[in-house]
Amino acid sequence: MNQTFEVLGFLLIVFTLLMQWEIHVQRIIFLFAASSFVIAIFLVLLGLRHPQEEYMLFVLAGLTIVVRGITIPVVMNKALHRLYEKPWRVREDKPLLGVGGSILLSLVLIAIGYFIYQNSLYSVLKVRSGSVPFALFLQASLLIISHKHAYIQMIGFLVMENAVVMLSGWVFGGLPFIVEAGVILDLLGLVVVSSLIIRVRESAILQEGDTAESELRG
Amino acid sequence: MSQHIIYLLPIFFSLLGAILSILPIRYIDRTMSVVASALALVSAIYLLFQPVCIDGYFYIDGLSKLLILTIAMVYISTVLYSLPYIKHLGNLLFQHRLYYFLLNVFVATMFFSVSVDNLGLIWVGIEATTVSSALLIATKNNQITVESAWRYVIIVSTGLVISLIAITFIYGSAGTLSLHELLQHHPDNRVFLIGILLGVVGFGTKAGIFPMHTWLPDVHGKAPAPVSAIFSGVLLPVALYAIARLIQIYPAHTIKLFALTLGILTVIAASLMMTVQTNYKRMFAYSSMENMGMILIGFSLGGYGLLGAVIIIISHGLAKSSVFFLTGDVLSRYHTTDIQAVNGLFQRLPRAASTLFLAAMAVTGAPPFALFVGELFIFSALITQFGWLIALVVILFLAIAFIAVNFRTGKMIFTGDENIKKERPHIETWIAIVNLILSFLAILFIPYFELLLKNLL
Amino acid sequence: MSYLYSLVEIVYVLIAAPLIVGIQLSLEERLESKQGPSVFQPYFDLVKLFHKESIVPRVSSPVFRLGPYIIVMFYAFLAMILPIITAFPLPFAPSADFIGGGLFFGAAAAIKKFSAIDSRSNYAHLGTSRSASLAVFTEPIIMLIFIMLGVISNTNNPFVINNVLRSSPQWYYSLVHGFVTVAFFMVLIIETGQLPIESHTNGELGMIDQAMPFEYTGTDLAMYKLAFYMKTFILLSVFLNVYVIPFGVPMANSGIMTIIIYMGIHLLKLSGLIAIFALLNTTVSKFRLYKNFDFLAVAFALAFLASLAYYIIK
Repeated sequence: MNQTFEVLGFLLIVFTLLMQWEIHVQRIIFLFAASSFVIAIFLVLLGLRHPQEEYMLFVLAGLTIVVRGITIPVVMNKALHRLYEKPWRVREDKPLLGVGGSILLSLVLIAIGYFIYQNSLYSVLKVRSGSVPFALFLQASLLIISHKHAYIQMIGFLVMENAVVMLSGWVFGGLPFIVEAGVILDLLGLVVVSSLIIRVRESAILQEGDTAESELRG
Repeated sequence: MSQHIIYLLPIFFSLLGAILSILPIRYIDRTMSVVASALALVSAIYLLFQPVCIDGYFYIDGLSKLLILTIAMVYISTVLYSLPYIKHLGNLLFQHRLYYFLLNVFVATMFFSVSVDNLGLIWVGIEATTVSSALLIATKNNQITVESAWRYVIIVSTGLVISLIAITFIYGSAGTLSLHELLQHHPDNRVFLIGILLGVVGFGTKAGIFPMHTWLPDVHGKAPAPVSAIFSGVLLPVALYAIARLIQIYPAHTIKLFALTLGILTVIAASLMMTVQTNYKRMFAYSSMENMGMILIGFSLGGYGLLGAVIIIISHGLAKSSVFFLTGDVLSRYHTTDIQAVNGLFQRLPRAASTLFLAAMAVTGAPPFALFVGELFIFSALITQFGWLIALVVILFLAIAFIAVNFRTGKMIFTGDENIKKERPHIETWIAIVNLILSFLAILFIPYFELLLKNLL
Repeated sequence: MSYLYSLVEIVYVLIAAPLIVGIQLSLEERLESKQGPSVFQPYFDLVKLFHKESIVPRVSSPVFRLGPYIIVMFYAFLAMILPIITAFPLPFAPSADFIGGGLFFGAAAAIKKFSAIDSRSNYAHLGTSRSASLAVFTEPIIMLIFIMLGVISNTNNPFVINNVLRSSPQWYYSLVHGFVTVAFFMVLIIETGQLPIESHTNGELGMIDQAMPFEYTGTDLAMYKLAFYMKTFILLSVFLNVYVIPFGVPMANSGIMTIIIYMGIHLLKLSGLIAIFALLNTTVSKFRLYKNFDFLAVAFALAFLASLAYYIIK
């Protein structure tokens, strides 16, 4: 079972690396949907460990697929379609860091996550390869920092949330159902609200050019 | 459970106000919001006299009650101030009734956050405040407000993910998230300690604590005045409430020292940033940040430091909302947020100008106001626990902040030539005046606060 | 007896190498619903070129002439020391381990670049500089891949790696092996010039390997092409025999008949891989030249992830 979790964890890490590689926003959204499905598989496997006690995890897996895997990507995709004439061509055009550089930095972060986990938490938690969710978290924060396009930043945040689900399930055996459900509802609200904000923001930038920088300083 | 239903009343009234104000009937949004906020205030006052409620669902002790009361007071003043202000605000992102809907939901989520008995649900509530308040910032639709709303969403949500990790750690090591169970019994290992520390950092993002405070001046500088008021007045303390609970659960020396360091760094960073501001709303935003630093110091010290922190929360919430209402007034007359461009406020609007002067004094901790007493409590605790030197450093930076704010406010109010005509004052200035007076009167209730917080001191 | 095996191996590589490229070219055309050349077209090309006269630029030195012959020699030598039709070391195998083999590949590439530069043609210079700047980043990836396999098998001997992978499923089905395989596949795409990196047209903006033999003609060009075919063949064989399908490669005690039967199987394996490449070449579009380095970064990331996975999962 542990090995399956490791494979899923590394799959998520690879997905995040591919998000760093990809510059087209729509494909990054698809990659996020794929990684949400991986999270759902992970939750099902977690539930199968003790099927009698943890049947709520199946509900949670279903909720994950519906919200993270389908609704959120569809909402973001719709917003892209409303904003741009050719949504499949929308891409990150002024990254703060080149693609190669951000991939290498992301590798360094995975290594850092491993060393921190191994030196501080491993002796208490005793979970083999528990550093994978931490690595995923650090990678997602890099995804936010290294991109300027709002949708990609949003995806970075969502990947971070996925990392937390992975962390809680893998290392600590899951959060209470009511908290997880609240988290998912919050996520949904956040995505809807921020899609609206991003749409307004992007259309303003498309019309007037980027003028906000100078006033929000200091 | 049935007798505990009264503790739900503030949440219930604000949610009811939200649902009713979305209905497509003319003026129903405004009237229902006023009614809901008045009822919430009444029920908050009523709750003060109810016994402490600790069961599996709610954890309402003196701290929660006082926060509910503060939220309710700022809530009603914000709604009343919004009535004329939003009406005159052009180029809105959405309709009026959505504004009132979001405002009511926002307040409901804050009530929820301070009354539930589960760290995870506190997190859910605080994240829900982000969701409901993000659009409020962009009420006035232009590129800058939308940009600041976006920064708010992304920075605060990212910070809150850190506290979600913290909650995972706490649950993983303690096996429960219930506040009263954690308070009775908690594990004493490294995972739990790291969980609490991460929680302080994560919730600190929402409260504008030092390393991740960058969203705060952007939002306060660009949001409409009532939204800035409610953000500064109660949203930041609600996030600090979570930190207070975390420290209360595990009052280890490491955690106290960590929170104290973050608090002092916040005070220092905010004071230094205040000296270079040219935008008065941003300047007052940094002043809020400085006060949050003081509150965090108070929470980290515990005992009378905590009492001082609660006094600051109440008086700062009222005084700072008053300040932001007045800045809205100034903005609507001068159409600029640049300090250099605002001159002769006293000649134009004598009543608003004198209130702003006193309110600026109040938020920077000038003696007759309750904030000063709160700071005194904190300093006495700081000196007994950590000695004179640290206290002197903090006092030095508070003095810098005091001079920076009051010098600029005085410049806005008292410069200007003779021939500026007096204008007809807005009626909503009275809301600011009432809030300022309440903030002053809070000093009379300090013994009562102490009585309410008896279990924490 | 084992010297005979070496001879068989080298002859097999020389004969079968053009066939693989022929299959790929033919398959690509078929996939695009065209008639396509015969699979034996590379042989016809080679025979035709061998009958033609070589023309040498006046400004060039003997390096230009000697280059292709030395490269073919190098690849012939590599064919004898790498596991292509046998899973046991042949007489010449001890002369170089995996890293040594990598160095021979590097040396052959260097000689190729020198002789290309020596033609003093602008296009050759263009291709050489591009190829060199890609190679600078490809080499560390190859090294990392070899090191990871060395960590798994505690050796750098390709034959031992083959035996370890075929006999221990816990390594064959491990994440380390998976990442290494994918990374090596990406390196193969770069080294054999497949599509996301390089299309075999004479477009100035994108050509890399295509530009280097611009001044070669006749027999020299034939040798040059033969070297390219052999390189492709050897690299694909190593990839398949050592990493992907280490099973079924003849062991020491199996006779000559087994080896001859395995030759056929080996060709089938290679055709499978070639079919994947053909599919890739007909579906993927070419990267801009500077995006090739992003591709390299991903390949490096996967190779590095293999080493991280080794330590994290340990």
